[in-house]
Amino acid sequence: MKKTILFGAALLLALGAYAQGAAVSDFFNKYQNDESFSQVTISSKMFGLFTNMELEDKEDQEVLNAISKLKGLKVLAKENTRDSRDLYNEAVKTLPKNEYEELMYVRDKDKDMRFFINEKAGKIRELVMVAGGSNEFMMLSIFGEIDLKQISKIGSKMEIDGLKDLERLKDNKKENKN
Amino acid sequence: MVGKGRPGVCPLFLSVYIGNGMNTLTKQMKIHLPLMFACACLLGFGFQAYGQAKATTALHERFDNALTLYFYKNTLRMLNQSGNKEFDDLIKDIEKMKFLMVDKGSRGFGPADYKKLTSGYKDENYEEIMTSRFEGKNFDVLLNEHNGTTRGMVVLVNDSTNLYVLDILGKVELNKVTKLFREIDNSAEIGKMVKAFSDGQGPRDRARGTRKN
Repeated sequence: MKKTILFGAALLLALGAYAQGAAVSDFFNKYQNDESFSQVTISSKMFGLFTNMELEDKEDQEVLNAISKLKGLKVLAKENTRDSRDLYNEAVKTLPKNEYEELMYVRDKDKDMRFFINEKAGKIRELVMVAGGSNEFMMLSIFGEIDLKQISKIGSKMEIDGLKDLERLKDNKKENKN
Repeated sequence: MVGKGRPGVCPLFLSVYIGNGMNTLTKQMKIHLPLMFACACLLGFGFQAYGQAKATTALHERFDNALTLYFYKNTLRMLNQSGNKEFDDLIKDIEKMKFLMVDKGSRGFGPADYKKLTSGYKDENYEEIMTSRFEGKNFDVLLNEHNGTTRGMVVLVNDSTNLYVLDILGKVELNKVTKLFREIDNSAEIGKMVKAFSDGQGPRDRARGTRKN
């Protein structure tokens, strides 16, 4: 009985370690069914289906390996909206400071972008990007085992509009920041 | 490929198959009737367990005028006229594919209907592995697995005027899906027909001399 409980607890801890943070999850759930928002959700199984790919290019293979370690990806976005700033502020406030460390802040013309990471036991479990402009808002969450060195390449390879901003991480990896 | 209620390649194969099968069946029935009955029952259960999604069938029954394309293993093999080994590998685990293009305007199909459709797949143990909504268009991929083995996959595209359903019975590697469509596209007559459908110029439209947007 004890063994079963211990096994169950260990399993929950292991699953929880790679899950999306509760605060981020709540924010997505709040707006997920609002038709005025665009959204993308990709599960670990979808990522898993790409793991059998055989690529000749070494760099592509490295990106693929990084993708195969991801457990999920969620994007929530709203365009042509007056409340983009409110949404941006709400999203940033949603992230508990004791869980999410700010990695980078970018101001590009009228657009603000913040990158946060959730790190546990020396491993990055979640990367969150929040972007807000004068009339557009986007929040992106990638969770699983994250390799920051590859994340900018994932952004360019996956050809999803919002992910292209991840390329900004290219020259601002965590080790450079510290 | 078979369009519902219109001549295609498969009915010819089907009639040949049934023709030969019936002769054999008559002879064997006299000898092994009880055994064959048992096999038929088993086959019946087998098909029931691994058939295409009921939600797709129900949708097709509701929109019986939808453009429908069936691809069977043999049909897919026929597409590979160049004998491409990669393509053979790609289709080796596909049992059947059904493609539906539903004109939503004809009988009304709203967001609630779409939600009900995806719920129907989930009730049949299909799991959403990707969902997306952009400018009112939905693109969803659902996977049916049992003990780690993929049994089927459903790809849904829902825009303001049409609903597209690709129901695959069996397994196809996602990274090779684009190659599958490219090969279908390049394959002579069938490719032209698929292209005509995807361009919104189905046989009925061509017969009427009209073209959808």
